Amino acid sequence: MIKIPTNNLKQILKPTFKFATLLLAAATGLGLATASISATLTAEAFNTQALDITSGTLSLELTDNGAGFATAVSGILPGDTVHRYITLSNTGDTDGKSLTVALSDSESNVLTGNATTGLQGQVTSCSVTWTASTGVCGGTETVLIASTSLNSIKNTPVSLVSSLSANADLNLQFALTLPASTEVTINGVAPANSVQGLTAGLTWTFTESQRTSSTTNS
Amino acid sequence: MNRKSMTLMLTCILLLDHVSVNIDPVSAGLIAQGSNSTLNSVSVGVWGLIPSNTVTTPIAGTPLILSGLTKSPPTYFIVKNVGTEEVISFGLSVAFSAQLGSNSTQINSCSTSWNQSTHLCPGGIITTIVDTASAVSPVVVNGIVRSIPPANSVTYQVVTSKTGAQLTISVSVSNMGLRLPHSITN
Repeated sequence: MIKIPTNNLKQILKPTFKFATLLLAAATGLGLATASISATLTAEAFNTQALDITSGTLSLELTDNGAGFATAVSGILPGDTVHRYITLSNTGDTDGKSLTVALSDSESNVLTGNATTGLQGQVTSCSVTWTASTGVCGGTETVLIASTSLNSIKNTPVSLVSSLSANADLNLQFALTLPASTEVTINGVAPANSVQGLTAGLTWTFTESQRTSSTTNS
Repeated sequence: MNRKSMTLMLTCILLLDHVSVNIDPVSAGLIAQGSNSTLNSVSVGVWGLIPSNTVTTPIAGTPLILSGLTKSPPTYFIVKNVGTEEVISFGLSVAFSAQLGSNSTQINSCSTSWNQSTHLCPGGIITTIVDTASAVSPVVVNGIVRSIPPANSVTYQVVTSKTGAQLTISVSVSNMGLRLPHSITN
């Protein structure tokens, strides 16, 4: 048996302890992880049926109803009113809101450039499909836009309805009017600032946004 | 660059790597649009009549001057529709030379068509629409009722009692002389 004096033992262990402490501190400082040798109990729980999340769709379709926008209006005269019929459909599965109508004109003249002598428009909805051939609404008529100059609509989009439900239709009649006036043509020459022979190429753009976002528990 | 600077820079990089920058997106949500793919074309009609003494080359903007009129044979001129709309009524302004004096000149219409060889109105009715007798130049007559479809013309006869007379004729048409305003639903 070898006997080591106590003082000597302290001298031997002291540097070794210091080294181990340093090593541990270094390992901790470096953030090293060591695998546990001893296994622990773990438990899991999960849904056996996948939680399906499908985003909604929002889509707006415009179709002519009889004489719609695709049917040209020719030979309109001061005092004339011409009706055009369209159906707006929210073909998405999401309710829409804040439906507006904007207007652009491929031509530049008084028809949409002058609020007084230019074209005026009125938009009326019908709770059922308009009978375009006769201009009859078999349901309830609602004036959505009272007579307004196309110049005004061209400059500022106008609100049509506050909401349009998913898969719902909006049956619209557009009444386009050239204000009554008197123009005299002498020897085949029209007066200055005449409306004669002018053409407007109108594009009507309808815009709706998604319903107000919400938090639900269902 | 010394060791301290490098350490500081490295520290900054590591810190930045862990900083998540949250930019609040513009919550526009879903927006749907629909518009007509074919332009909604709206065009205004044109109305205009031109007086002329030739069927083929009427000149817009110019009054018709008939000079050197003779007692016989009568002279004829046309009023041609150069617009896109049917004219139902129009007006005539006839200025005449002072040399007419107490003589008169009449403009006559025929409800059918003039026979310019016989100067008759076969099967029709002759109506005097302008008479300069005892009138001050110019004589203006509005509301002359006559249907003139686009590109068509009507012939009028000028009869004078003074050889050498001269007339200056202007034709006017207002949109009130066209069809009545109406609402088209189909």
